[in-house]
Amino acid sequence: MTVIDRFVSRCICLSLVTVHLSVQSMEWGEIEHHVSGVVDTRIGYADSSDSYLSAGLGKFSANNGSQFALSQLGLSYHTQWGDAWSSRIVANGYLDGINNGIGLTEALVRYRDIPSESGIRLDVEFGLMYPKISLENVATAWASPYSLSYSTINSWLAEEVRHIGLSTTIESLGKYRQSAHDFSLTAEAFMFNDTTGAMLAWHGWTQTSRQTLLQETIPITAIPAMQPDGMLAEQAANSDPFTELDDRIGAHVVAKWAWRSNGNVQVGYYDNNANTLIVKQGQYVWLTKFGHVGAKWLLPYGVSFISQYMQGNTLMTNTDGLPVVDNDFHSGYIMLSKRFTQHRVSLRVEDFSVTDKDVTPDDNNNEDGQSLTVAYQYQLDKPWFIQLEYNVIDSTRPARRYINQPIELVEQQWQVSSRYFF
Amino acid sequence: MIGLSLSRDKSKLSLTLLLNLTTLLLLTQQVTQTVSAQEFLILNQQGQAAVNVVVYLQPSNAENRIVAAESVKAEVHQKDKQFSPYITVVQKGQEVAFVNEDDITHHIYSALGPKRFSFKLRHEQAKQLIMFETAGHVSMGCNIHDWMSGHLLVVDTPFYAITDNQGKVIFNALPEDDFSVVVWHPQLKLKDNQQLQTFHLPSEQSKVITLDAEFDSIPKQQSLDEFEFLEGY
Repeated sequence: MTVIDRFVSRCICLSLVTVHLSVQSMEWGEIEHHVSGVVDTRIGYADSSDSYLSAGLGKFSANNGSQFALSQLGLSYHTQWGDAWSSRIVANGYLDGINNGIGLTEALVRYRDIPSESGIRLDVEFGLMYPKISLENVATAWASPYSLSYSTINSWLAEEVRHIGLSTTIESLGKYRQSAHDFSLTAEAFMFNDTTGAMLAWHGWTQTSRQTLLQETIPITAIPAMQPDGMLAEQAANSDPFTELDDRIGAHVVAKWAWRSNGNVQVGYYDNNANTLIVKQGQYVWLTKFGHVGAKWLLPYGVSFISQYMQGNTLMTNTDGLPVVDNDFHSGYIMLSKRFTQHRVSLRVEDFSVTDKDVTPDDNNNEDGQSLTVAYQYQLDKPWFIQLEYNVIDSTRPARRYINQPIELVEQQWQVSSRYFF
Repeated sequence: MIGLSLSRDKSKLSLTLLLNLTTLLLLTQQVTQTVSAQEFLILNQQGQAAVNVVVYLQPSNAENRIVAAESVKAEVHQKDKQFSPYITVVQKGQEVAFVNEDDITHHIYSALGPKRFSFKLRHEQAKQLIMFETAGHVSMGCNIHDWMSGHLLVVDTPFYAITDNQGKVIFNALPEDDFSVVVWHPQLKLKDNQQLQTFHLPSEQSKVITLDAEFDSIPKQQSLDEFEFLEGY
């Protein structure tokens, strides 16, 4: 058992003991049920190539050309019992002619009590969940209120950074200290994410609103190193993002500071603590570590500023421990969004890269790119939004030459969406 | 009118009239105790009207704290994911109705001060009644929507009000007494968020109270995300 394993195990034990004590002292009342959802139907046109969803290197979820799709049918089923206990099960469905599917994306039980006399609140979640990173995906079924396609950071989370874990947050609410400042510390321990990093290496950053379903695997673009005589010959054709191979526990910590309704800032570190010596059924274990920072701030004139930056490394080795894929990566975005009555305009710029540090032939993972998103949202009725969005990604990716595409590529996408929330 | 009646009565010295005089004197005493109105003007440090602050008067004579009049019904609403009004003041022993006007569930709580409670208020639920038996400041929140913030001040006196847009309050029926006049606001930067002065009331002139400290900014009861379909991520 490593030091981190012991630490995480202790965290889990402590949390379970706390939750257990609370269970004993609470009164179990009537269970409340609540269903919410989102139906997102889009017409779009992409000037791109085959989507990463169909084993291409296109960075959008749409293939080149026009598309009509049910881009998200999200359903969120909540139950609440007693004052502090609740559960949330989120299912998503997609009908886009590229990769249709329906399945679970989140399923968790939550304990969130009211604050203590000193303003300390405990918030514990257990289940299939996202690490607490995204500042964009705050709406029903992890949708973003701001844009149809998420930033590259949160698109990566949607694809392969999810797990089964325990998330414990301790918050200190400022109003109990006559202060305008709230602080929170979240510690997360998790498993079932041992391949996290594979897709970032093999198709790079994407811009999408597609969340990988629990039962899904993700097709990998054919790369020469995966040929029978290549160094990645053992890799399966699809990556399984929610699998446990090494029986080790990963960890993620986030500290957050919120200044009343002015804004908040967070900083976090993620380490899946994986043992890269293991490969099972064509799935290698990837050791992925990254740090991230983010801020959401209300600027003058009611403009919201949202920004996140992430930087890290992902490593995959052969069973002797020799690096096969060793990539540094970074991505960051700045978004400005302004809502006035039923209109909202959002503007997002991004910069991202993957730096290939290994010497594996026929598997060049280098990438460098920038992106711009312009979105306009019109609220027809309280639950019904019409959204127009333009995305452009300008990127350099040498691996495109493996599938006879230009290394330098500008991809563009226009979308009109009807989103109905309930 | 009473004074004139007395002058006429004094000129006729009969036993009946004397008895009548005694009765009238007693009545007069009682009436003068309750008819006088008293206005207060509350100014902030800059000399501008202090709007929406609580003013309550505590008479030094304990008997004056009790009035037979029926207490005003107080309601705290949850509307557009905000507490409305932001500040409510009630007399000790009074019931307050919590009314959810939103189409979602709120989890209202008070975890500090003289009255601690926690209850969920579904949108279809008419209201929840809570009795406040102890005087003090009740700071309320919603455990689902952290930005929601409301304050309830429970006072041990029937003489309380909240200043209007001109910073004024009027107390219509004050007994004659020495009063501690307390000005309170949850963001007033003074000990216990209050300023206390003593006056002999009622007085014919409006009393002007200038606050010795500034106010903290009132928290906006608004989510940073400004979106109706947030899910607590």
